[in-house]
Amino acid sequence: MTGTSTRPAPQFTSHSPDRRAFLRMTAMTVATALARRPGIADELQAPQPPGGSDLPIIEGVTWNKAPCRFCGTGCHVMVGVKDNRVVSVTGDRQAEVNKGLLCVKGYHVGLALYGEDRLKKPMLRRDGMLVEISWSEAIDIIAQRINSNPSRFAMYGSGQWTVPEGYAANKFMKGGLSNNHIDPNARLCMASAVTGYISTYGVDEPYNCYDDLDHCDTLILWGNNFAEMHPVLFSRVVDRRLRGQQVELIDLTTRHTRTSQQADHVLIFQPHSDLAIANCISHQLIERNAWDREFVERFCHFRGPGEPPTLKGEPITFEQFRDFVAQYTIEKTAQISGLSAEQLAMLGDRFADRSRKVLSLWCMGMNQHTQGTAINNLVHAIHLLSGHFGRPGDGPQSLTGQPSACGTVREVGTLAHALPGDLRVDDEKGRRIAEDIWRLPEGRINPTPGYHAVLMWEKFCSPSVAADAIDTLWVQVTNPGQTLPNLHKLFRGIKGNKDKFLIVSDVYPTATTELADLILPSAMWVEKNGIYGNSERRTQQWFRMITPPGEARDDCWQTIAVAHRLFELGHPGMKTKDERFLFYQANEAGEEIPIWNWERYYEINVDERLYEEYRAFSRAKHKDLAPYQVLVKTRGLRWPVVQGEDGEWHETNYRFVEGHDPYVAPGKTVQFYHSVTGDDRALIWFRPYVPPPETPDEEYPFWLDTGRVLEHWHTGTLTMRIPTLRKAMPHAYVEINREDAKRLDLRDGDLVRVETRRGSMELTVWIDGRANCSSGHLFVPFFDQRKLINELTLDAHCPFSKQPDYKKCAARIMKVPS
Amino acid sequence: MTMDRPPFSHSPASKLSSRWGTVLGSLACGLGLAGFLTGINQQTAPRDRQSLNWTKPSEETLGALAPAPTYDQIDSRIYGFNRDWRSDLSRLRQDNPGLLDPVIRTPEMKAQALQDRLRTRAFDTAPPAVPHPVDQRTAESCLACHGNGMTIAGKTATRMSHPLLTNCTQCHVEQAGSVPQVLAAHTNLSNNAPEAAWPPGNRFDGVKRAGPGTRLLPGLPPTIPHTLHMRDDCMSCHGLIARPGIRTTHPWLQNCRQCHVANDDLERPAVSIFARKTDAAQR
Repeated sequence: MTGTSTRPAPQFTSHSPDRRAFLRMTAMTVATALARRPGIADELQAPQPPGGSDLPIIEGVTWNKAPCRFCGTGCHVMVGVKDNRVVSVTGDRQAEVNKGLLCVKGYHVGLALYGEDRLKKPMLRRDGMLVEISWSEAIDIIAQRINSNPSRFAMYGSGQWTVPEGYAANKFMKGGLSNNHIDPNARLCMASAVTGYISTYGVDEPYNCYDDLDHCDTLILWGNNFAEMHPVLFSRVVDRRLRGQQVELIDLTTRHTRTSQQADHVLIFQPHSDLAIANCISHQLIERNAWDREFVERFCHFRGPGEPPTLKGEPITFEQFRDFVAQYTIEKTAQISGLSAEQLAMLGDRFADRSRKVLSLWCMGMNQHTQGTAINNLVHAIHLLSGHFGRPGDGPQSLTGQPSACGTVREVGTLAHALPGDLRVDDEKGRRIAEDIWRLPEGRINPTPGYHAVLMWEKFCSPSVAADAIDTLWVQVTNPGQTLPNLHKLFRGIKGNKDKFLIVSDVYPTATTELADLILPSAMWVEKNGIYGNSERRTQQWFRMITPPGEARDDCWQTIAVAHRLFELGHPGMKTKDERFLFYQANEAGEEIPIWNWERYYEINVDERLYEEYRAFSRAKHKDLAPYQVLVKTRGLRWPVVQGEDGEWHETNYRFVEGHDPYVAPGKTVQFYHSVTGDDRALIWFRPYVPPPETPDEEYPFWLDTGRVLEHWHTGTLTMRIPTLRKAMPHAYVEINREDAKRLDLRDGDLVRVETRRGSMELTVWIDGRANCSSGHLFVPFFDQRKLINELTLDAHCPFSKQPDYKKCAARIMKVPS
Repeated sequence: MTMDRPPFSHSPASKLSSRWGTVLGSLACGLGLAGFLTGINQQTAPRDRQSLNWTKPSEETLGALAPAPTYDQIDSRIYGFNRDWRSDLSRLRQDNPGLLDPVIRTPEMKAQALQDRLRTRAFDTAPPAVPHPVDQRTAESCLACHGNGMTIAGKTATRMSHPLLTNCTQCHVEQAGSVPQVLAAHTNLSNNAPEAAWPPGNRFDGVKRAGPGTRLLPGLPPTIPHTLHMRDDCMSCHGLIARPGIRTTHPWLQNCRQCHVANDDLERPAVSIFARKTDAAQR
């Protein structure tokens, strides 16, 4: 029997009208005309939807552009606003980054504003209870507290800070209070990438951009779950296959993830052995004589770590480099890493083949690493050694996690050692430039770097009798109570300690507000003006579209208000050398506008004023930013943005490469003009394999890895309040290998206890759920506020970047008796 | 020699019983033989077809019936009755209406269709969440049903409305995540929020529907009241296997946009397309 229906296949058959068809058409037209009359409806059985059938038609929606609030990809969205409410979100087709596509978080970003427990009033903790207070009281409390002991005050900021917010905080701390204890949560995510870039090229941030995704032949992922973490960029690569392009995806990973499902080669390696693998590739290149001699001789030097190892290292010769990497033979590396000889040889093949464009991408796997700087150095080294550098699609590119870790933290320099524009506090020339732009008396900026994140929280949790302790800490736009490693040590220590005062500016109650003494409700995303800088050096601007709820106010305003209260109290740091307020702003007539009064804050665009002031810094290291009004008209521009002779502003896709970067001198081909060695050359580093501080042993036989899932952003404070996302991923779990589960007699849904030397947690087992763990590994996502897995993680950090390692520590697992 | 009497004695009684015995025996044998012969006869006699209620199948059916395989063919023949089995979902018998079938649509049906769309969407232009459990997450497995769309046994797998993209799960997540539910109560809550207060609700009140399309005059084709972004394939929502309330009345016409123009804010070009270049210079 051929087919069970004699009806034509729907939709696709071309229909040559014949007599029968014509009659049917006529009959149908008549029937339809009849059917439209009321009365026919009664005979039809349509199911009744719950809540009735009325749906309001919302007219008069205005649309505006904004970058997405979530990850470092920096997709652009169109936000639909009506009556001071966000009512719709769609992808922005004019954006180069995402071309209208979003991921599930981006599509639902509008809902992040409307959780029911949104913070609306400042609250002070008195006798254990949170009491609502006024803003003026809150600002006064903070100012008095700082004024009583300015050097024991610290600010903990964020890669989700807008550029003006971070700039205001940085200026307030370093230019006002002469206090360098300002460090961001990005210390926990991007610091190793920063030190990797600085020690290799002399200046931070990727030289390349997302154009690489459109041109690479082979994409190597170094320990990042690209498909879930940068989904729009992942799509950009794999959708090329639909157009008939061949893209080879090599997934270097410790567990088999959604990325691995779409990869051509999945190389599951032992945690931490990425150091050995990278050195092995360099070794193979030299052994096969496949390294790019010409490129290296023209544009690179070799560098070794020195004894003892330092960030700057020491120069070495090629022969020394060759001998160092020669230890990492395929056999030895196979032993350390668990990869096969064929897999390692395959990696060597890819880099040896100059005809293929090889793109390396990485994120937390390489950065959250006790040898984070080292592994970053090594991956840059492989590309420089093999000459896979400079062409679109060919090169190493670090991916950023947070929406403005690049734009705010790295560029504005909200790190304990940095100043805006990639300058350093311990460099006199940098201090002079900053003091000049900020109109400060000479010597205002403190030359001693402040406390980095882990140290800052250690000092905040240590008893106040210690001379160098921190007593007052102001957290903005981040949730350290959930994201710091080893939470019992670095966060819980303040509980009950009356000498300590924790100020938290946030939008929802979080694990951090639990222990806060003063909670300040903040405006979020399109409730304020903002500027973000994404992973490909693209600075993107947006305008305020709706007003924040209740008494929530911009973080930037909060900083300026506290600064002015200190100015009123007579703190000398709040004055410039012209005797003006540090954040003095005047209108066209020259009159000062009291922007520290919330009612007057939006009389001018404070964002624009601060940004234009900050732009001056950006020229220091050729990271020129476009003017604010130019950013308004575009979907972001990649710096250095240079005005051409035609008056147009031109962005730069590839730094250091002639023809792309306007600052490369003609004839130079590739010029690392901020080179560490001062001679336009990059450094090819050797860093040895150093074992991790904690490995599985008899007592704790498993590796514990922590990370993320597609549906949730960071600590879930926003995404767990979005029903679609919460229902799709409602709670944390522990992922375990199938064989291990069998051995331990565990099944899906069993309650188990996961323990490390630092803490213990009960979790649900999910075998081969989102990803497949290797034997001897456990994975727990950190988005669930009820399951603070960072109580178990280790605070050991990279010696140079100070970034902790969330991916590796030793754990054990046992069934909880029911 | 005189004939001796046989060894067994024939008394008159036993003579009588032995005679009867013979008669009975031969009667039994005769009956048996008769029965046997009758039975054979019955088996060989053809049965009347009428008595079996059997009508001869039509030539068409007979022609379509699979001939029984011979013994040596059994191993290699695909058995007739599983010839219709399809391992491809899209080739299963589907309940699609015919291209020219009458389309009955009422305002209530339309409202219900729009309401139904919201069961899986947070707002009108959000990507729908997946309302069924998902085991396979490759693009091919999603496309098996949603590539062309299908309706089987009353259940509809909607056709993808946007061009082919290969990372389905980055936008379409499961409506009820497949994380195993905790079997025991949380005993290690690390924060103070009481279980009852979690999760907090969300007061987002977004655009729930697009449209309706406007007509300048009655009888004119309505404008497209929604963005065309991610909605390139009109048949996905308005075609034959779509929700009845928003089904098009003329599915045989395939060049939708020759009559229906977009009237959504997001579809209007950012610059006036009728401005001359010289105008810009003069401004």
